[in-house]
Amino acid sequence: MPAASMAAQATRRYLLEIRLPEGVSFALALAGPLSRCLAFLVDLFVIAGLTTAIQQALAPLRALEQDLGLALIILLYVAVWLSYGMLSEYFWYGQTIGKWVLGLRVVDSTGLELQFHQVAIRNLVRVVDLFPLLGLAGGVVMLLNRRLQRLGDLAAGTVVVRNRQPAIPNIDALVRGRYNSFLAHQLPCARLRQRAPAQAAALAVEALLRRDRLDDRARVALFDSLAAYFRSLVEFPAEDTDQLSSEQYVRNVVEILCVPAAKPALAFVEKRTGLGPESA
Amino acid sequence: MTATFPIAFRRQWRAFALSTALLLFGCIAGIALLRIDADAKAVLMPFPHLLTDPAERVKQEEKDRGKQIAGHQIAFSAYLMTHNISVAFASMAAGMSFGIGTILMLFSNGLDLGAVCADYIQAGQGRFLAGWLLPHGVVEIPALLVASQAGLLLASALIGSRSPLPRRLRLRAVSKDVFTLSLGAAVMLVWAGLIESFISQYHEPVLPYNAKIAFGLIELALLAWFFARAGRKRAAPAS
Repeated sequence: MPAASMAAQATRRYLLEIRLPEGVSFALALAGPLSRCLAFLVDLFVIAGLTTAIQQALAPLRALEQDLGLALIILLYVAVWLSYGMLSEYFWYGQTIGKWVLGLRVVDSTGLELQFHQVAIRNLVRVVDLFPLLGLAGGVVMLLNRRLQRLGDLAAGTVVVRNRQPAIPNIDALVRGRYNSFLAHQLPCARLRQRAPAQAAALAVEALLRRDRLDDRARVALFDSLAAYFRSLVEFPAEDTDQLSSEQYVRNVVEILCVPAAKPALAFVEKRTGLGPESA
Repeated sequence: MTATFPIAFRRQWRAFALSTALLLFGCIAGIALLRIDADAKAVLMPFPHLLTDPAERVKQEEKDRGKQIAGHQIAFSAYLMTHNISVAFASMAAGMSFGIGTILMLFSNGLDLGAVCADYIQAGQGRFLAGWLLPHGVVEIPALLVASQAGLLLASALIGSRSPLPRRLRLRAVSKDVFTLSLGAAVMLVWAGLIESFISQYHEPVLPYNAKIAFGLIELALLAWFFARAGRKRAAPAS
């Protein structure tokens, strides 16, 4: 499938693969320019808020002691500008408020713990990234390199990754509610678990999650082909499948493949009755 | 910090030598330009109050007895510190432009400095100039040079000729020193800001020029000692 492999390559482009000396390797999803721009805008608002608050808070002092008040305002103003990103990223797992809102995080590009000098450098080099205006230099550099690093990231050896884990679909809620007659047949269930590849299960879950966004004809066609595929792996007894829509068929399959509770519950029933449903 | 900073400074002394050479080059260019074309003063001088005749300014300042700065000293020194620290950090960061930004900043600062010095010395106001610039300048200018040293360090890691390491590792190797040097420069500029506001702006008869010059030279000697000696291992004490 050339299209699929191209898509896989495109996704790989935005992954940072980290191989630890212990032989463990893992991948982090890199953050794109747009989300990082937005995070920066949020941070600008936060900084503006902080500096305004400082000015307001020191206004009475400035009225009394003009020289000292103005000096404190200047010092704190610059201190906030310089240290907001550094302190926040260092003490808050690579996040600033903007990054937290957008679900981003700064990490060391080799997977080590983030050091203070790294966050300091990446924040100080931002002036060059913003050069000559609107972050042009940093933006161009980011798009030209594989790890989507701006100049500050290159200097500091850091990358910005997406913090959010992909949401785990609530499969329980997806399949619950209707009686699943397939669960009564242990042998075909076991065969199905054995034969169905993980990708097929994931595809079926995706299809169920998106069912409401498909138009009727597309939905019927999709679930027909999914059901036909699962039928080709395992045959359930005809009396259980005859009156079943393709969509419900896929629902039942997903419950067998993805809901761990389905099996123990059945085992519990068998134990209590002393009879396997198969023999009943 | 008191040991890490001078050790990092000495480890990367080549970058410091280069930044000093670039500043001096700018200085010489500034002096030469002012000698060749007196009208260039309007373009070269960094601040408007330097456009007047040096002798007149000296007269004015000596009459003024620091009244102008009275009541604004703390704010003025806060402004000087934050402004100079921002410039120093920018000079470091500009190393990521393959050093072009850092080199330009050094050159243009040298140009200003050279032009001002040449102007005052030509007008026979060398003693005033030394008394005015030395107390804070002997710390402020080295601080700028150190920050630019950090910038040139970044630039050389970025360009990385003659190094077998990939760029990522070259930058990683210098990043700690870059940070140490930048932070050290910032601390130096806090001191320079205080001195510039509280001492440099007072002239004779409030503060004698010789005293100001002596103070500057003592600072310079201490600073030189700090960079050259501090943090060196002493002979192991007998245990």
